[in-house]
Amino acid sequence: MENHASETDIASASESIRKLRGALNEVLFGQEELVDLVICGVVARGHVLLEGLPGLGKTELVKGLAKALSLTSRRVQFTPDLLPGDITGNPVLQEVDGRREFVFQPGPIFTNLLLADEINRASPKTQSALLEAMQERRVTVLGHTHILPEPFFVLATQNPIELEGTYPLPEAQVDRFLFKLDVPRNSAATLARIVSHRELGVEPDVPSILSREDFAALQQTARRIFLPEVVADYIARVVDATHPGQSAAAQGARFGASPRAALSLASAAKARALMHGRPNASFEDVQALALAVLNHRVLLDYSARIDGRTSADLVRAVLQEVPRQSLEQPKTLKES
Amino acid sequence: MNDQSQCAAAWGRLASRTARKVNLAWFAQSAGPALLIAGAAGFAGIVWWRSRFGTVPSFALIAGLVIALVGVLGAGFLVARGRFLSAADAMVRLESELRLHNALSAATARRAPWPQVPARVADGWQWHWPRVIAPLIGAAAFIALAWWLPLSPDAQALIARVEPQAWAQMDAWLDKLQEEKIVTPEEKEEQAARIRDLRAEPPEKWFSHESLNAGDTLKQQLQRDIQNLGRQFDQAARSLNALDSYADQLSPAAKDKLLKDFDEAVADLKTGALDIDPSLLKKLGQIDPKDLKSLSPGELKELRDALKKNSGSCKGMCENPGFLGDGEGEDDEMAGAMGLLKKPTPGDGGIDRGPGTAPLTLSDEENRFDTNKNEPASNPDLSRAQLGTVLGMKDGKHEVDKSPVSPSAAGAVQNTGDGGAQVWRESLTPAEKAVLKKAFK
Repeated sequence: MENHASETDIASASESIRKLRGALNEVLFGQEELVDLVICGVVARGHVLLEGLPGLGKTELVKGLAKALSLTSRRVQFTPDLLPGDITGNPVLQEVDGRREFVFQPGPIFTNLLLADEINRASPKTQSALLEAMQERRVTVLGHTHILPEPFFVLATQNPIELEGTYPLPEAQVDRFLFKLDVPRNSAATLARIVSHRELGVEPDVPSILSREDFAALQQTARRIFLPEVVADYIARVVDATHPGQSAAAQGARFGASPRAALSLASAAKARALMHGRPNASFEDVQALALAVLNHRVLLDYSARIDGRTSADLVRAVLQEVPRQSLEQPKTLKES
Repeated sequence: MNDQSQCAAAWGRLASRTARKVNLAWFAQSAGPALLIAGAAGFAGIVWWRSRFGTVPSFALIAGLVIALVGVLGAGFLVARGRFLSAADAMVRLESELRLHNALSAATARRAPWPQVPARVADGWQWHWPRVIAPLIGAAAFIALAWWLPLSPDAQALIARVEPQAWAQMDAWLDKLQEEKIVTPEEKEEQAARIRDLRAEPPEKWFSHESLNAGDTLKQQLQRDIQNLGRQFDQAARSLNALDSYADQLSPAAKDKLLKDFDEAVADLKTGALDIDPSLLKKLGQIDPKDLKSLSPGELKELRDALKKNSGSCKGMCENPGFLGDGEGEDDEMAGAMGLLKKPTPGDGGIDRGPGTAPLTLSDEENRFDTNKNEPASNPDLSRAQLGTVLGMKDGKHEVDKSPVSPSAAGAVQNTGDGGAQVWRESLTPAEKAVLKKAFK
């Protein structure tokens, strides 16, 4: 029983997450599932890509999250003329002790929570500046490597409309996002609640739920959640089944999910188990998170796209096809 | 034992129970077809044994069935063993079915406490009884059917009676000889013993060349003996008749000859290959041909009739060629009688037998060769076409590029371009074209 989360740790973490969830649900009305997934993403130390129409509260959610977790946050509006140095920072010629030398001026990426708004409007060169930061949590400028503050998250947004003048994120960068979440439209009841409780131009007041240290401890607890071997095997089979030829459901797939997707799914499943106060990840966690983790990592071929299939359809079909347990059933038994 | 230990033990028992159920199902699946095959083999074996020996000893049947059953079950177990479910796998199945969020796997790894056992635990599997029972019923039905199947005694007898026809014919002759009281029972028994010797051979050798040859030789010999017997009876009857009817009109020499013939016939009958009936022989021995007047007309007639009847019987037997289909060509007679024989047509004859003549010789129509009839011939194999051969003709037009090519001022656009067509022609793969066509439709 070494190096695993104790019942006390799990109960405490679960309670903290419950409070965090409550606070964020007060920021974003009617988006409980989205809030849960965003919390799951940050607890699993993952970056999140939010896709939705303008005005649905994406930015508010990120700001509220930063406040609730007592983290620093910065927002970068991505535009086509944005340069990599505008994000990572630039060396600036300064006079130091009577000598003129280059001094590194950190960019907005040196924060705990970076909101990359409309990330697909920046050029691929600028988008790729985020690659190292997102994967290794550090940036290298002119040969000097600078470590980013802990924790570090990128919560990026992109707009599914107005695609003229945008640069679709390269697969390598998309793969670095733990989740890609669709921000759904609000229902009429939710809109009524928003109108009643919000005022244009006034940000909601979000209390600090967790200190930075508490959040770091919570992340550590999530990492110590037990992942049973059968669940790991299930994750592997699900990810493998997204590749062309590996399953009937993968018909129409051009590329399947990467090993990083399997790792991401495992981390997210652990985080979800912690959110529900369980000491281990389960099949149910994997199934609940597979769509968010795999949706943006599976690429469809030309024919499937023309036929109107989506990656989400493929992932759902994979989940239907792959059994939880790799177990053959004798013909003399039947499912009851 | 604390609560956790009890839970662990309870879950362990449930997992073992599930594993046993699944393993039994695998065993049933593996043994089922083998059981059916064994049942079919048992059916064939029992039916063969019953048809060969009449019945099957119960002990041998039961022992054979038990051995076959053990063998089949053993083979089924060996095949199924490779797919057996472990208790650990069964526990995963249980936690998946009971929606326990893999709590049992975590508890097994000592990473979480054992959950309480619910009141009702279902592994999500139930028996597919038709598939389990069908092979058992099938195998039992095979055995029962083989045991109770009524084998017709007539069929068995028919199978047993299939033997060379010459034997049956000799039996018939001997029976008739005895029935007509021509030969002694001892003589009939002696002849029948020879046939029995042939029958004593194993049935599979009855139609061997040696056996058929021996049977035919025996039959021919018996037939000759019966023919001789008939001739001797006939000769005695004719001599007796002549002596009785024309004794006064015959010359002494002729009379002597008749007397001599009668004596020779009686002597041959006594010393013939077949021992004739002693009462008949005694009557013949008591007759004095020189003094036939001593016999009453009734006695003489009775004796004459007896000789004639015996002669006729022997001749009748020998004139009978045998059974229908026994000799060469008799199949044709039988088929002809039944209307099955094909009508002879020209050309059906052989080198030494008719009927018919070769076609195209004598018939009016046979000489018409249709030599004036013209038919077109074509050669679809173009690989053998000669130079200058026209392979095909087609109406068509040359594809002329009608794009304006005349000089024009800088900046002026005369051609609107066909970029889309070029993309369609050069950039898209056939598969992509097909998909696009489908989408546009």
